[in-house]
Amino acid sequence: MKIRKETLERTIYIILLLNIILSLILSSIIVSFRGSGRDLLFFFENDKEFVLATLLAFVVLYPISFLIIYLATFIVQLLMRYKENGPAGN
Amino acid sequence: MGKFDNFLFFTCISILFLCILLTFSFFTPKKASDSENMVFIGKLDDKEIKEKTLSLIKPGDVILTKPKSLYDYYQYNKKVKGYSRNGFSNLFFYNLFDKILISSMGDTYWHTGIYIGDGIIDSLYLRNIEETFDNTIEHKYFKVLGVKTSDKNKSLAMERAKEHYRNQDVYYSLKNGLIIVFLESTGANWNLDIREDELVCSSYVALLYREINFDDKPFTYITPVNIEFSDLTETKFLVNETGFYMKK
Repeated sequence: MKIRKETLERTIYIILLLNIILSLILSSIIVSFRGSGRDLLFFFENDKEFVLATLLAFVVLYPISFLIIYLATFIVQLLMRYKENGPAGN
Repeated sequence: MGKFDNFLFFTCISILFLCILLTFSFFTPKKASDSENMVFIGKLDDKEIKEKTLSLIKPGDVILTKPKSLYDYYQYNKKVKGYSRNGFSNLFFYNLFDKILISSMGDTYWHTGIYIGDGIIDSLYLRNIEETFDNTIEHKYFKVLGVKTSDKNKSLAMERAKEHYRNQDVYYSLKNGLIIVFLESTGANWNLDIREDELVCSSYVALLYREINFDDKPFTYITPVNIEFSDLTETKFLVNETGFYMKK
């Protein structure tokens, strides 16, 4: 069961592009959380420490989230092809 | 794909490789050198570990802990109130935290607290300041450090711990946590504005012991590795997967 090169390239391209926005949003959300005495609260602060922490979180999260999304997409594509063509791939 | 698509594709691929390169540069795993002479006491069960710990630990001592395995971390999270992670997210957080962030400071402990007597350990957790004991020692992977300072400073630290627990006026900050791990890992000496009430567990212990400097930097920047290898602390005993050890 093979996935065409063109489909694979386009999938990677879309994931890479969307993942930049997704990882930046996720990073800023994660570093904005602060303990509140009972729960975790969202405190958005626009200072240089926040920008640095967001960039650091992005650097770590971008490759990891790319890998996770890519693997999930690849599995979904394989399953869809399996459903369309059957186990022999006909 | 068109020309513009190609350009975006290669830009994104470059960002991906740059991020991987920067992750390895910023958070390179390091090995902490632990060359202390310890005497093996034996492989004790949970009850014996608790009894021995309570007989040896003194108020004002600092305790460092970490889950000894992925399964141990999962079990611990299941027991702690408010954490209901599934297996996959547990695997993700354990590896992200242990293999990237903690390893970059040295293969050291995750969490720090201060023993304030009567079987109570005070420490700053993600949600609040908590007083625990069983949750901390049930990892069966911890180290107790004596602080080389006067009794007066120890009393002050314990009083502060009780006061902060009552007032809940120190907050765990993921932002500052990530920054101090980065500074520790890279050895950078940047002067950043880290608020004194937005800390992580190790800087919270340094706040309680603010009369002494565990390392040559402000208390807001103190990491577990700074406390563990400080000249102002000495190992009293430790428990790991092989058993109970005491300082010679």
